[in-house]
Amino acid sequence: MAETRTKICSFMLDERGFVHARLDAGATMEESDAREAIDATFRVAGEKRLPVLVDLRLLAGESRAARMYFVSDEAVARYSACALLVASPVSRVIGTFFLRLSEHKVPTRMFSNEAEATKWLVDLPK
Amino acid sequence: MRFQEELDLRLGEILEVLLAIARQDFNVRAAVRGTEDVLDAIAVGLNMLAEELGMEVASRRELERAHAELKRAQAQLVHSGKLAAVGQLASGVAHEINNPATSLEAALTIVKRSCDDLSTKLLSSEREVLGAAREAVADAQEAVSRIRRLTGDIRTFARADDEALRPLRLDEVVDVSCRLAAPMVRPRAELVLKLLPVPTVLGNRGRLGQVVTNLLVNAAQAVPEEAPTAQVVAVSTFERDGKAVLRVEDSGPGVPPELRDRIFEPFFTTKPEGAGTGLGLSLVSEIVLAHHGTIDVSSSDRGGACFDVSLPAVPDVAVPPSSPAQTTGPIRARVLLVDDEAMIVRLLGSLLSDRCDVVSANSGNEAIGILERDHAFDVILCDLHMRETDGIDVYEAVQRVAPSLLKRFVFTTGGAVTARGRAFLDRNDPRILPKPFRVDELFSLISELISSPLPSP
Repeated sequence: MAETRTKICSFMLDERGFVHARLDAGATMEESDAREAIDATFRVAGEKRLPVLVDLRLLAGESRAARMYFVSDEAVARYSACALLVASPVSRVIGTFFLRLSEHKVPTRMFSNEAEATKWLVDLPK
Repeated sequence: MRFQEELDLRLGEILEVLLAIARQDFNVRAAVRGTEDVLDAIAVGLNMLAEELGMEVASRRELERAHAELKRAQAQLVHSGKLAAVGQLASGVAHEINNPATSLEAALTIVKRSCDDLSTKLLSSEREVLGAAREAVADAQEAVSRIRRLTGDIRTFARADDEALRPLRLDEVVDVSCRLAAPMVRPRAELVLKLLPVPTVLGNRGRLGQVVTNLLVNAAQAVPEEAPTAQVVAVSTFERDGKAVLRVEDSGPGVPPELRDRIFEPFFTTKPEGAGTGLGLSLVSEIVLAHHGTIDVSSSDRGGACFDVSLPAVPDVAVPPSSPAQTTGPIRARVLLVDDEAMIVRLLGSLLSDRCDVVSANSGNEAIGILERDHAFDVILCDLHMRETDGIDVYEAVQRVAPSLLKRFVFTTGGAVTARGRAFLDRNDPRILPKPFRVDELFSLISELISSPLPSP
C-alpha cells in the first residue's frame, strides 16, 4: 500500500480506491503545505485522479491562500472528490469555512463519522 | 478561579479581534491554545474571518481605485472632446468671418486704386477732400489686417485634431498664442515677452499653442488678483544646449518643492474648488512628451513658479514663411478663379484682371466643366469649401485632366472646417492661401508660381 508524508500530513492509498490524508495534531495549513499535499496525493494515487479523504480532526488552522489553492483548477485536476472528516469544534470551523466559502468543482462533503465518509467516497460514481 | 481568569483572558482576546474587525483592522489575530475546545474554535473561526475580510476589503478597494481611475479617464475624454468641439466651433466662425473679410479687402483695394486714379484728375483743393476718403480706406484696410491676424490665430489654436508634426519656429507659435491669451492675463498681471529666435523644432502648431496658452492661464491664475500692476507674467524663448526653450514665469506664490512631482498628474490642483479642473498642466505635460520634449518647474527669480519647456531641435530645414515675399514685377498669367461667393469672384476677378487674364467660375461644377474643355491655365485659385462640388472635387478633376497643373493649384480658404477638408489637406499638403489675403500677397504668390516651369505632362 503506497504511503508518503509531507511536513504536516501523511498520505496513504486505501485499497478501496481513495487516498487517505491525515493532518498532524496542531498543524496549520499554509499555501505551500497545500501544494505539497496535492502533489503527495497525486503521487500516492499512482498519478491517477482519485477521491481523497482528508482527516482534519487535529488541524489547528488553515490560511485563505491554502483554501483557495485546494479549489483551484490546478489542484482539482489531481483529485476527483473530497470528504472532510471533522470532530473537534476547531476542525468543524475549518471544515465549514472550506465547504461554505469556496466554489467547489468536484464533489465535496463534510463528515464527523469516518465510516460514513468512506462509504460516500466508495459509492461515488466512478 | 483559575478557570474563570483563563476564560476571561480568552474572551478578552476574542473581543479584541472582534473590535479590530469592526475598526476594519484585519491584521489582529486571536491566540489559539490548541485546547480544541469551543473557545479555540471561535478563535480559529475569527482568525479565518479576519483574513477573509481583509482580502475582500483589499480587493474591493482595488476595484474602487480602478473605478475612480476609469471615471477620471472618462472625464478627461469628455474634457478633450469639449476642447475639440470648441476648436471646431472657433474654426467655423473664423471661416465665416474670412469670406466677407476677403471681399472687404478686395473692395478696399479697388476703392484705394480708384482714389489714386481720381487724385491725378482733381485740382489740389479737391484732392484734400479725397485725402480724407483715402485715410478712411487705409484705416479700414488696417482693420481687415487685424481681422486676418485674429482669425489666423484662432485657426492655429483650433487645429486640435491635426496631430501632424512639422518644422516650425517655436518663438512664432509663442507670439501668436500670447496675443490670443493676453486678454486673460492682462486683468491680473503685466505680460512681459522676450522672444529670442530659437532652433527649428518639429511640432504641431495647435498643440504647442495649447501648451503656451495653458501655461499662461496657469500663471495668470497663480498671481494674486489684487494690484495687477504689481504682478508679472513673463514669457521668453531662448536656446539652451542646442534646444528650443520656452519659459513661463510668474510673480505668484510658486510651487512648493513637495508638490512639484504631482502638479502634472491629471486632476491634481491646488486651486480652490471649482477654479480649475486640474487638467491644464497634465495636458501640457502630455503634449510636451508627445513632442519628445521635457517640462520642468522651479522657482522663478520673480518669486513665483518657473516652467521650462525644452524641445529638441531638428536639422535646419526651410520653415514655410508666414507670408509670401512681395513682388512688384509685371504679371500676365491666365488664372482660373473658383469661388462660390459671387462677391469674392467679382471683386477678386476685377483686381486680378489688371495683371492677369481671369476666367471665373462660381461653383465647383462650373470649374470642372471649364477644365474639361480647357486646361490651359497658368494658375488655379480655388476655394476649398463650396456648396455641392467643393475644391477637393476640382483638385481631383485637375488630377485627371492636367496633373502637371497641380503644382500651380492654390486653395484659398478661410479654414478647413470639415473632417474631409482637414484629412485632404493633411494627405496632399497642397498650396494654401489663407483668407483673407492682401492683393499684393496674391500677386506675389502668382508671380512665384509662374516663375517655376511646369513639369512635362
